[in-house]
Amino acid sequence: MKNLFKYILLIALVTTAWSCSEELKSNSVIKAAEERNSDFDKYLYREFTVPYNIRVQYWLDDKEIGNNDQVIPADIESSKIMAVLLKYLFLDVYNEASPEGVDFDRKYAVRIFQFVGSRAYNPNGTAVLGTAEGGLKITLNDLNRLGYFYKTGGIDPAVLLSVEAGEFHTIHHEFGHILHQTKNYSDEYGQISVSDYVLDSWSEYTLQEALDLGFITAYGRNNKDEDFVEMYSTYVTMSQSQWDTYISSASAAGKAKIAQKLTLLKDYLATSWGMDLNNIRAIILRRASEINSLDFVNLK
Amino acid sequence: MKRIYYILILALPLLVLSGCSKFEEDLFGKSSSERVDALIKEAYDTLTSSPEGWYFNYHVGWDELEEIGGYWFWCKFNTDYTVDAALELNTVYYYGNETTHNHPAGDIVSSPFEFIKSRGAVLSFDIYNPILDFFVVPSANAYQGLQGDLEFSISEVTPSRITVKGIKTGKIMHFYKKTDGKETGQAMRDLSEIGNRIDRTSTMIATVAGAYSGEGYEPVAERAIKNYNSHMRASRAITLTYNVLTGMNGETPVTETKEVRMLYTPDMDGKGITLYNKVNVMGNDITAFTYDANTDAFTSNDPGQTVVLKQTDAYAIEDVLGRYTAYVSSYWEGTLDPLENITITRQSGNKLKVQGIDMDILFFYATFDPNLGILVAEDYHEIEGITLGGVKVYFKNPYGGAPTVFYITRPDNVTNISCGDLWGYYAPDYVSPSGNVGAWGGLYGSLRLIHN
Repeated sequence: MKNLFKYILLIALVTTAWSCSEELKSNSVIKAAEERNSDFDKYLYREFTVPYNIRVQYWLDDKEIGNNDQVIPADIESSKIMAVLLKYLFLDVYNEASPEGVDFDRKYAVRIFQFVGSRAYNPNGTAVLGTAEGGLKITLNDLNRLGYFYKTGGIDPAVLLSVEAGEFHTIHHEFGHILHQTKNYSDEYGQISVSDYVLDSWSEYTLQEALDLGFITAYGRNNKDEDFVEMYSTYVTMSQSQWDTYISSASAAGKAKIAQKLTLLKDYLATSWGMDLNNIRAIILRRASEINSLDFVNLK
Repeated sequence: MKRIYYILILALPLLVLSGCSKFEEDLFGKSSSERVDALIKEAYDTLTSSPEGWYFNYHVGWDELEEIGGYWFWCKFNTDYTVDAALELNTVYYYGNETTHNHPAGDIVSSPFEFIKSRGAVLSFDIYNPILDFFVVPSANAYQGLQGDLEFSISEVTPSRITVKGIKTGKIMHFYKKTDGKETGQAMRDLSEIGNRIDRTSTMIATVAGAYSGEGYEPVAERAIKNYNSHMRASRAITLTYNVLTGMNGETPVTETKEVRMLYTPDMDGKGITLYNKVNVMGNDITAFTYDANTDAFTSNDPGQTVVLKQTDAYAIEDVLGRYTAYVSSYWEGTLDPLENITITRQSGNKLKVQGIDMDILFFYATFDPNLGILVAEDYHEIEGITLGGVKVYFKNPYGGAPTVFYITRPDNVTNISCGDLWGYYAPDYVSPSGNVGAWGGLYGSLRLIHN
């Protein structure tokens, strides 16, 4: 009797499990947002998702944008331009510079890019050019200007690399965070300006004040991690002569600190990653000079 | 032991049945996922089945002061998931001082559309379209744009009308099937003309039957002048203020002031306006007004026709031209001595030149809008601005901000032109107090011109 009941129970449970596995499939004939299949989608899948598990979200997903931000979507032309540039000025840079080649990007690249057409503005009228979350996702604003520049004569690489507003300053900055969060830099770096970090008050200071204290940007005064990645992303997106001009107005003490930080940065990249800082820069600048020969239109 | 067996036997069916969602669905109807799919399919099939497309009555604003009424889009949804869109307003976009898009009313631009399943049945315009994005595009002076939506949750689908709700605004909006046979561009241009006529003035002469209208207590009706992406218009939000007599204190009336806010959309035939929400005035419910183009007046649709609003006459340019004294103050430079011998002369049409004898002190061009009663300072390249303490000041943010607007009033028939919120920026060679070279910032001042 006991055994009979055990068997009945067992059969009942198995039957339940089997019948429930036959879930009703949703009878959807609608192409949902999740099922994109244009040529551009195929290009993104092949060039970003498959090799690197990167998602390029060129449509405006409002969930991904902060609720207080009112922005407009990127247009398709600008999205294509940015996708091509992401490969050319970010992924392929590290493929070239790292001894690990493509594996480096596979392991460490930013995973999600959200494209946005306009700037985002704060209530006080200052613009937000991009945001990054923990190195996993970068939101790039103001992309529709790229399509406009392209249609009206070409994209000036300086626009993409500029310290103030360049997408690739932002991208290499964020990538710098991924690097040091994976393998940290030496404590010595944080000691150079230890008493001059001001956290969120950084925006109250001018660039000149920052330079005089040995910071490469006012934002670098936030904390040592931001200092580190601002040094990195600024250096690799400027030629030597641009760099020399940029820091020329710094005080002697400021210049000395910047030089110290630069040395530690170089050592870090060589020791932890087998990469040469100047080589990374050379690759970025060379590629930046080539962007107007790229095909931004026929992406499949 | 027997009891345990009985419990097990009883429990068996429950175990079998409760573990299976299929059973639940059969028992309780379709799952929410299926319902969403069904609603999306219905919406898609209906939207793509109108050969002439749809008129879309679009409302904006999640903050009260940003609710500026309803505007007409036209949308045609195609089976390849593209939408063709047009608007009754001109849409112009800038990058810096360059015009990147210029679409007069009725221009059609196409872009993809999507349905988002993950948040219910949501229709999303998530790829750039200069027409559809008009009420959304932000700027330095309007960080939330005109507070418009790009995503809409679908609430009801019928063959000729689809009801949606804006995700950010919460506004209930409708798509109406277009069947009038009109060519789309012309239909939108016609709506544009109707809108220009119906939205002409910022103030209106109001009469409210039964309200107290003693001197100083007359009803007042106004529409805010709003910047529609660098184009000034009267909004479609009428604020009606009137007084109700509640008693007398000796010979002094005791009144209670009432304020009613009415958001409207012009009717397509140009013969009236329909309110977004019913309002109550003097105990009477009003949902719409008829518009008589001959009298240029709106009459409420309640049986007693309680409210009549008449658009005011345009300002005459002759009242604006002439000689003025200017009173200028700013946060940075304080109050200047009055500047005499400021002249306003006509350049051409409604383009005016405001100029001091000493051009360094005061000199700018502005466009006169006789209906809104404003002067709109010309854009960056056209004007010199004014000089405060030796520094040239410009009236418009070169990165696409709002133009500076001066308001005309005529107390005792003397023309006053003033801007209490003077906003400009400093010339490139100026060093701001915080040490930024060429930085622009608010003047936080005022300029008042009083006709001599």
